[in-house]
Amino acid sequence: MRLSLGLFVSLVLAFSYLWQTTRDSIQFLSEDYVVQHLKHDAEGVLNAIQFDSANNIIVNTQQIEPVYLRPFSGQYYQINMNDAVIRSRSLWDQDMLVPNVAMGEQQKLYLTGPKKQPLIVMIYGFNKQGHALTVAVAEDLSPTIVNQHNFQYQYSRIVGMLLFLLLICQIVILRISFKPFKNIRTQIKRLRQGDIEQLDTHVPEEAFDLVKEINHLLITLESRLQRSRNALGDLAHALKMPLTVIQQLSYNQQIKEQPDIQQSLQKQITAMQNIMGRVLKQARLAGDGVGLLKFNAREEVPELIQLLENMYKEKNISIHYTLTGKDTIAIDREDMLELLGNLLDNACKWAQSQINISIENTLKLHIVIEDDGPGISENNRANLLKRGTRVDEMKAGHGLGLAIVKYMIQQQGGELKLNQSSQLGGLSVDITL
Amino acid sequence: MRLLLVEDDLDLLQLLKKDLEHAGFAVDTASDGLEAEYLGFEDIYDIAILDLGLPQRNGLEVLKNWRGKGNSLPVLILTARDAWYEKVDGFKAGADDYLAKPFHTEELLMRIRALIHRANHHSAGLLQVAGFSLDEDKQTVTTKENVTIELTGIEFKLLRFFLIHPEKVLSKSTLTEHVYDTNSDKDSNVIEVYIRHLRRKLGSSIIETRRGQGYIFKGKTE
Repeated sequence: MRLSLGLFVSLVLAFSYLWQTTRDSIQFLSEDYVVQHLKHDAEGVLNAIQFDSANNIIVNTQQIEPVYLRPFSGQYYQINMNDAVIRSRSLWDQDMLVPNVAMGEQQKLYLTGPKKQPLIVMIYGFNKQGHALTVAVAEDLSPTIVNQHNFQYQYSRIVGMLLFLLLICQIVILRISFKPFKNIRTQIKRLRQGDIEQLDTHVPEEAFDLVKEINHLLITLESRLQRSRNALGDLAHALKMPLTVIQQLSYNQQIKEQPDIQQSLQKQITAMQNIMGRVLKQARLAGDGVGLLKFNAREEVPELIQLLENMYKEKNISIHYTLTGKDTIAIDREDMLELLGNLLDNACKWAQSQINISIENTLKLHIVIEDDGPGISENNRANLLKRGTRVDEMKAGHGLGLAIVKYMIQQQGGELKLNQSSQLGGLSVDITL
Repeated sequence: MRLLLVEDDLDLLQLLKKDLEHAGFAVDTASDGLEAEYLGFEDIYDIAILDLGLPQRNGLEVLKNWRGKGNSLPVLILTARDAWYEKVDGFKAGADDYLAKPFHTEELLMRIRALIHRANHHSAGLLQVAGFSLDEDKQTVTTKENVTIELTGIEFKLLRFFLIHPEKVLSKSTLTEHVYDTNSDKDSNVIEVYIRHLRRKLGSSIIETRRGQGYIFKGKTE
């Protein structure tokens, strides 16, 4: 997740900076303490310097701190005057290579002293009784460095632990605060699959408005679909009634006596009826997305089969049905019944006695309907598939059912295949949605 | 055969009634749901033609109420609502057949005949009983000897009712109920006259008289 990566990086950066500056300050402070101390000692050494009558330099060791007199004690001084070099006893016979500095100047140096001691050296330029002197005072830094290292080790450990704890806390907080969104995501998935009709509103405040809005949209969508369906149903009804009356009138005795008029009247009525039926049916389809009522394949298909077996009772057709996968199909019930009804009705029209329908409702929806009728030649199958689904592209009176089916599949983004049934020998209609 | 025709469009109702009467049915009509439901319980109808979009009470509800109270009257739904889910819902409510408007009268008649045959355990097509085969289109009857006999309207109605219910005692009032509609002048003595006509045309032994009970169709007894 981008959010948690950003938080992680910024936390690590902040801690690194804190760690770095603290470490540097501690180092600086502890060294500064040593430097102050050395300055004080340098002044002590200056005080102990005397000159004899021959202007030779003498250091009065009585005035020097004893630590400078013990060999390799870690505290050293060295006085340079012209070519003469005077070393503290602690230095024994080792020189410190220090430059001369002018009076009033000072310099800080890091050198390696006797016994490989890391030294911090403060060099001062003095003038005593007209003699220019350079006094270098040094201290072994190793105890300080050990202390510093100890501190750094402890400090790094604490900082590392804190960073680790904070990262864990952060992950936990992110997980907890994003859990509702994860919930919403799974709910939206279930919504699409038709398991639920509304999102759960038991979500944190931040997501509540979003969920409420989605639910509101769902309701709006549903009622709009319902409204337009009802309106179309009423329109269809209103148009069909006069059409039915006109059709009945065309069988009237007086009109029967004019076969030309009757024929063209009936032809026009049939054409009107076909176009109206097709357009209204297409318009009624819910199409892709959230439908009103999901289709329960376990309950509804047997009912449809019973209906068809009843309608074609005289043909004594037996329809064999298999369902694998889930019962609920995430397609609107009315759409699904229209699809299956048309396909099964077609199959019943052509079948001798046997029809198989299998529905596989797993990740994809796969429907196969086969009959034992005469089937369709390969050429004609291709033609049937090629024909457009627009009203003006279709020839009246033929395959209204299949046209609706094709239109539906097109809407749902599915695939329709026509084959010869290997099992029953007739037509096999193969649909993947 | 007496038929209950339920349709709220009065133009269509009149046209259909005429066609159905022409085809030899005694037709009573209802144009709203309440009246239809009431008439459906009368136990005098052989079939009902039911529209779904009815004022006062929806056709599906009427049908459900009939079935809910054990009324097994054969019902053909005749409606402009022709979506498959509507058909499924219609059958679930207890319909026996479903025809979408607009329709051809021939198809409607064929369905009505098939439904009546089915409800009374006869096969579809010509009504064939005891050597007689009745052509319901032409309203003629053909005997075993392949002689085709023309029938008048009432004769046809009577013979069809006998052939649908062979070997059953049918009272004069039952016969009257199923041959005439509500608005006809019902004189049960007229039935006797038509039975005499049938006996004369088809042979005197085909219909027996059970004194005080009614008539029974025996077919050809040789």
